[in-house]
Amino acid sequence: MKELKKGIRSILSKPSTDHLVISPVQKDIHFIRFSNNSVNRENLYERKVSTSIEAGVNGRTAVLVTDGLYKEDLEHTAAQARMTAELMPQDPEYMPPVAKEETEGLKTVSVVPELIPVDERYALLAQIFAKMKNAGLKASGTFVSTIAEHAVFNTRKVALSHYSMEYALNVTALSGNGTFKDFYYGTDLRKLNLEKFTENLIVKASLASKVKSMDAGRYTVVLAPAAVAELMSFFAWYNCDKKKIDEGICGFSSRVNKNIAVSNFHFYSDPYAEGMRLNPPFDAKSGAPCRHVELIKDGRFQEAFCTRYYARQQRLTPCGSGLGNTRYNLTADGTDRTAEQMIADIDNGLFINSFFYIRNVDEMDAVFTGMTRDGVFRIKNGKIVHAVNNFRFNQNMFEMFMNILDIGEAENTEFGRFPYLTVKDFCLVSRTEF
Amino acid sequence: MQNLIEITDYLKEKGARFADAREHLVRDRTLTTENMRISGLKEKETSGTGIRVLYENGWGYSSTKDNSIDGLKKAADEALELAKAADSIASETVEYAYEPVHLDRFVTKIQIDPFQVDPSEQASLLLQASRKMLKARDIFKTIGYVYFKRQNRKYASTDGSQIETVLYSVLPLMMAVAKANGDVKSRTWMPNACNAGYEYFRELPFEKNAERIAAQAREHCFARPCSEGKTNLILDPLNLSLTMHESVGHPTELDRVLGYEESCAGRSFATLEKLKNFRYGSDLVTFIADNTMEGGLASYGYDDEGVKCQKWKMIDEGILVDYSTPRELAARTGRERANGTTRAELYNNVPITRIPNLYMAPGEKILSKEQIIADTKDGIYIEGRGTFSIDQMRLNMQFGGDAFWEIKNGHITGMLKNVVYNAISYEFWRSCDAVADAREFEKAGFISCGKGDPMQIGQMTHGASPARFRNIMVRRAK
Repeated sequence: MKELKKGIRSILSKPSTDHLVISPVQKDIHFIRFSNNSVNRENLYERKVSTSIEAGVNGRTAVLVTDGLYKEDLEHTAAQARMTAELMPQDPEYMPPVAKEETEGLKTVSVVPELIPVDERYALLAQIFAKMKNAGLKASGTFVSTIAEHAVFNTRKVALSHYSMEYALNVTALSGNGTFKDFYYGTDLRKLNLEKFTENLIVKASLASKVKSMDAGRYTVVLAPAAVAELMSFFAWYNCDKKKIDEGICGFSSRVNKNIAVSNFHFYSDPYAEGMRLNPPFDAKSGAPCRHVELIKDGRFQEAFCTRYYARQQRLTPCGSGLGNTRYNLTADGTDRTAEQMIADIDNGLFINSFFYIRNVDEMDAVFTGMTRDGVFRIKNGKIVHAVNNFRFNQNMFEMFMNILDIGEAENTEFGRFPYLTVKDFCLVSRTEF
Repeated sequence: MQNLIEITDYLKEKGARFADAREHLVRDRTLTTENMRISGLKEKETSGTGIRVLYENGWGYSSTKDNSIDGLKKAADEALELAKAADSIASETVEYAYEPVHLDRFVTKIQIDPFQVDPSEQASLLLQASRKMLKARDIFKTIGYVYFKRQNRKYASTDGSQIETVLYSVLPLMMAVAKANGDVKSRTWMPNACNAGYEYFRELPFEKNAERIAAQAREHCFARPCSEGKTNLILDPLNLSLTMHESVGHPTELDRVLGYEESCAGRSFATLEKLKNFRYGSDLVTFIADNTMEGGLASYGYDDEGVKCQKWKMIDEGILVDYSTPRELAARTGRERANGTTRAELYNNVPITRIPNLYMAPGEKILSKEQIIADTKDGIYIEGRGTFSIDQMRLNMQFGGDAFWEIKNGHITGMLKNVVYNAISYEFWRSCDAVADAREFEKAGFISCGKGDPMQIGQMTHGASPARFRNIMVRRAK
């Protein structure tokens, strides 16, 4: 990256056009993937450097991306971008590069983070494999250690750089055909209590091995944070774009001034929220600052994401560059209620650990489908009593927001920080027995 | 190539059981239009070398952008270090299947390299179609899309193989969105994505289809919602391509079958004990894998383990007879050789088991789609791809479509909306009771199949003739 930045500064010192935005991203990833208690899948170092160059000429733009590391690569790509832009028609939604003044006040990290030594990563996995083997279970999953740097430079004097890091440990314990998955997403592995983590996997996966049949239907469910995160991430992607809302083509379009959720469900995007790890507080392509965006609060839709152009056209406060990066700063507030306390309040229901293959079914009503996965348990008289088969759900999200009965502790997930939720009448339409 | 040979020799000397090196240069261009605006033009170039090492029973992989011998040696050492670390905690024995030595070159047959063509010319084809769609009643949004990719690959392994490939792929698409009758509906035209040159894109009948999809998008807004319950479905090749991808292509990947994908993509119900005896579909259902298919997106000549691309039956008259098999797992099914389905997206990705070009064989009896419809008392005819979801064992599947028509007493009576069908995959294929003949066979390419962790995007071609499925559960997508 050092060499790249030198090249970028050199190009920007004598730019061939007054519109150049150069945004390199470097990710150093150590990826360990395992299954059947063995490192037998992807086991690799991935060093990704990718530089996006946007050139603009008289209201025409083009973006070229290179993974070249040297000044010559950048010069060549910048020249190509300019030439391509010249060939294009004028863009009616043309926006000049972000100005330096717009980025003032951004809180970026300039210290390169450090990861634990490589051999300690394998040693941690060896401990997990040993415990699983002793319990007669098979572990599969990934252990990914990442350091990233996002930077944006342009002809309007923007020079942003942000370092971040993450450990992502995902373990699925397999017992017969029953599975249970748990994970750790964070920046400090000392916060991972390995004993508790493996114990939970062993107890739940063992329970998952004996599945009792249960019919599809509407049930009160406790959704674990991973399940909530997956749903909310899809919901945001399809429904939280201001232009789409205004065009009348998504779920929020007909619900802007209506009650759509229980009053204590607070859903928002915030680059500085607890649990955000690998994203910079600016749009990684343009450098436009991300900000706190209230999505659902006090039971109602509040605001949504939009592009810089749309913000200017509609006189909205800019919030980055639309859904792209901002999507991953999603979060919903939790409480201090534990999952056990939430389960204790349910006479008859289900605990759903995670979902799989969520897809949009009807955009106008935010109906999504998907499957339960890696842990579905029956709750009876306030306790988890046994595992049940997996289900397909077809669920209207607005109906779900109104049916939230309880909100619990929040945890870091792959898609941001989300709480446990108890939801009544969750719509499970069919079942699968493996 | 010489550096790749040198580096695999280097790893052999350092004790590797097997090693291969793949130099990979990928250039792609994505062009999108929204109404009369070019909403995106992005070109990307990625290049480097990936090195894979098997040390005793541990695999390691590393990659570099530095293709000099010193750069490759550094990456090779890293890959070897990781392989040794994996071997130190390995609990499985790796049996790596034999493959003959190949010295060859494979190139997609093309006339015009799309990267030699001005992107504004490419955009103008999409914009012309857009203009036509926007003139139609109630059309308020149009989307045009084209993706071009060129891959230059060089491969060398400790087996002694030296292979060079050059591949060109094209994915075109356009969509009309209508707002009418209080509803918003779209219709998409998705011609076959395939390995081809620019000439394929240039000759596509955009304008002719623009008119049709614009009219159907509007008609879709006025369509009646479907009734829920079991009915008969007649599915067009494009709709079937997605269904077969998810419920036949993925379940027959041997890495899934053996549990190696448990944590991410999932496993498969099509487990080893079912091989050669499990009724996956009716007698009319035969699936053929063919990575030698001309223009097939998975027609790479050779896969990324140096295995020559092949053609084989996956399901024969309804019975599961084979899998997509990497070299590492071939012995588990009694195969002596892998069948050439292991591919990596970029140089920094590990090659993984991929769905091959996979198609449902056309019916042997002379039978057209119209004859199948005429022979159907009640049912729904579905065209195109829509919502799709399936569980991690590839059993409980739910699919939509792009357009739906009601069939009553052998006739199409009008358009329906909000249709999804839900079934257990093998029950669905067992319910197939009519397959149109080869005259109606169409290919449908995929260029966005996600698999692996880190996620890789794969490409392959599917195909089918229209077919009928009896008593399938249909739900209203609301």
